[in-house]
Amino acid sequence: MPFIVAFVFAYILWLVLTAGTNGLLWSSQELIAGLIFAGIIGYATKDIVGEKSTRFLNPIRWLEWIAYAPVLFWGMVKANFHVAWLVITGRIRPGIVRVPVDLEEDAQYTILGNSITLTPGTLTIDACPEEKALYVHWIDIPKGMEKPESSEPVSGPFEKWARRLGK
Amino acid sequence: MKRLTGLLTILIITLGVAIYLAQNIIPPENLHPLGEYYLENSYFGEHSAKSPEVVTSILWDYRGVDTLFETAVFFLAIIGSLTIFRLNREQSEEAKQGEPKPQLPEPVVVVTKLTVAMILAVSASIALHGQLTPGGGFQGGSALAVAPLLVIAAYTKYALEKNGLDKTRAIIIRSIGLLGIALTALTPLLVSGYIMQNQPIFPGEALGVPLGGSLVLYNLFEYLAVGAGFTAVFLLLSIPEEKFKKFLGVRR
Repeated sequence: MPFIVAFVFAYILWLVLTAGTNGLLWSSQELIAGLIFAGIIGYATKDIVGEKSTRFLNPIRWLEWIAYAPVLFWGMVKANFHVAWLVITGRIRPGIVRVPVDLEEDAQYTILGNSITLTPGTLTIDACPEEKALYVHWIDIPKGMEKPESSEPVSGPFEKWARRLGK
Repeated sequence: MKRLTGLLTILIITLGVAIYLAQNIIPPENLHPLGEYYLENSYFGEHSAKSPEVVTSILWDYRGVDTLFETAVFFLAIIGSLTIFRLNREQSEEAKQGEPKPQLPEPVVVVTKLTVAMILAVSASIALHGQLTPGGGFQGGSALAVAPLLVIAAYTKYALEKNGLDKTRAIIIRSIGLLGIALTALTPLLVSGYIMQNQPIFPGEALGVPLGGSLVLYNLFEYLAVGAGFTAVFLLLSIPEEKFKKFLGVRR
């Protein structure tokens, strides 16, 4: 099964890279070459990708990923304007906060950690699944937020999404 | 207020310089005659390399011997590093003993899983479309070598060796690549051509895909040689220092 995950992933990537060889679509030669190389890559990486990755073959999960894209994008737009304002005014209150999160899987920590890092102004420094917390560097900590109770003030709705996407 | 004035000054100066440069840098109108020759000949023309990608045609066809010697230099560099880190049989067995446990935080490991498959697909695409789009064997091989490097960083080298990619295998793959390059370069001699001749000895296209004659072969073999050569060196460099000190009998 991990073979199929790596295979599908590599094949989709190959299709993205070679789009436009036949009009806007793919020539049959590219499709066949892609099958061969995705097979080799799937075989070579099946032990690294691991058994747990098969949950990403679920099509409902893919739809959820597509739904998450605008949420993440909107969060990034807002944070960009906020950081631009901080650059102009120069009034910042930087520091590292411990953010308690309610997540189980590695993938959930990965999605939340990377979403926080992608939004300007916040940066995940470490993820500690054993103490159920992320350590986040925050460029402008609001007064009284030095010890947040949940991830909501730091990352908005991302934790909810990460919990569903990484299940 | 002072800060705002400073920022505005920088902004105005940058914009001014950009506008000035945009208007005053004129691209040259005439091609160098040699460049014109390559552009006209690489695909059409009498001295065609049967490849629409001019850079690859120059690299592996018009100036092919130059690239062949560059490959030889790279070969010597890898051989040099392998010689410095030479270990006997027991020592290399001992260097393989270790715990294949991720060393970095979980998110790094999860992302590594994704990117390793991704890098392999991208590198194959770069190398095998070398005769059609910018890219080629060396670029693809360098990208390929990033995949084992990421595995070493996220999981330690022992994980790579447990999955079957140890130094010996890497060197074998690299030798296959170098042998392929040498054979492709020497084949034209058999049919009374000259060394590294491309057209009309190698097929210009197959199944409707332009192959650029020998260019696709050179790219494929260079891809293997460079990727596996770098991997072998990375595997050697990631042996812990304590083990090397033990092998060499260094005492504090």
